[in-house]
Amino acid sequence: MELFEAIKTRKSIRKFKDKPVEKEKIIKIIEAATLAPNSENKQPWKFVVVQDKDKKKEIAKISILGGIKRYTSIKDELNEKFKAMEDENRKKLLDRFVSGELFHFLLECPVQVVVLADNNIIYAVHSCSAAIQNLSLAAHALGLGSCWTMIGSINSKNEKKIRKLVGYPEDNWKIAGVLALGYPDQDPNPRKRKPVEEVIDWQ
Amino acid sequence: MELLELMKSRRSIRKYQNKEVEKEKIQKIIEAAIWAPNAENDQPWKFIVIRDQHKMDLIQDVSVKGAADFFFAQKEHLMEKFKGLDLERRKKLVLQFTSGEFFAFINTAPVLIVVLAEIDKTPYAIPSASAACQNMLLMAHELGLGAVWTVIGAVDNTNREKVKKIIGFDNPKWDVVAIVPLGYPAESPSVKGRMRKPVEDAIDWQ
Repeated sequence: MELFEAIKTRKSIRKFKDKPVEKEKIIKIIEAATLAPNSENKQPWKFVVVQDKDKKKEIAKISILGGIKRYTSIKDELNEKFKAMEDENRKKLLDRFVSGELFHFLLECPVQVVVLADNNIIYAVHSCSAAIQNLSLAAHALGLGSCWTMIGSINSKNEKKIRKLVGYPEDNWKIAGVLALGYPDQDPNPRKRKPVEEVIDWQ
Repeated sequence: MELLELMKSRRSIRKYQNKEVEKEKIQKIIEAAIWAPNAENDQPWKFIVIRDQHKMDLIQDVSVKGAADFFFAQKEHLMEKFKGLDLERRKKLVLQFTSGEFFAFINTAPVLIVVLAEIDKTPYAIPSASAACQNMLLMAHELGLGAVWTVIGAVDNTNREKVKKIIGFDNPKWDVVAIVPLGYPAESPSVKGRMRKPVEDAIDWQ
């Protein structure tokens, strides 16, 4: 797939087919991830590929509860954000956020990838974020779908819980993302972006 | 170019031809950036495209000094890192780091893009802006341009504040995620030179 097409047609996938992902494909997309730029080539990352059902479930639970907490606390802001929508649709959408339903796909995806940044190295989170972007694009090019979540890791207590679950309790590690991965079973609506000129400042 | 091939062949470019970069190409690169994933579609980013030589010089100055401070503090560590080289070469190389010389190229590019994250909008601003920056680097490569993601001038907060001031974003809303010189490449570093550990070392199967 061509780059711009991949960039533009990639969408976050939250519904997956009940079909395992081939190990070779997982390796290939993580290889793409490791090609991201990183400071002094220290490669400050680890990709934990979680396929164990119980572990996946625990990680999903932490994320769902994190979602309920976050979105309950910013419910009014969300309501404001969706104000252009009709009442009924807006209520439905808000409910998906506040009930944690939005993150149920983490229970159902065949693979989770927990991306760990080694904070002993400067700019590790930046490098890992670039790596995640390579990973998402490569997954898309191979016909896979992914969704990058951070809902389980914005709260430091939850973040540590997930790290302990996957065996990285040392505090130099920081979760840069929990990704759901699998064969897509949906084709989400096109995404929206502001016109590019609005985000550029020519100087 | 095919996507994985493109990712593999992208290298950091630090030498540029004395040739302007077309406005359309800059726009295309930033258009690629804004399709990066971002939580709740907040689009928490801004791209400052600098072609004003004076501003570039000021940012270069912050970067060179920032690099000198950063690397001087770990001089011993650098000497250790390059211990495979003979003493003369090693000293020269370490000096290039500790003097900030390695970052002197920043104002030789025809364009400098500063990527800003809108950190007061969402806790996800820096990861999202970093993903956008990666799209930008890939797109630059696809269009035959060269770029490099530098952050050294922004390593400490004081330096980031200086850069923000130079570009007129002196406001706690914003943080500097990357300073990216961009231009037509005047060097072609070998792809082989871009060493990565075997992928299996980076994976933990569970």
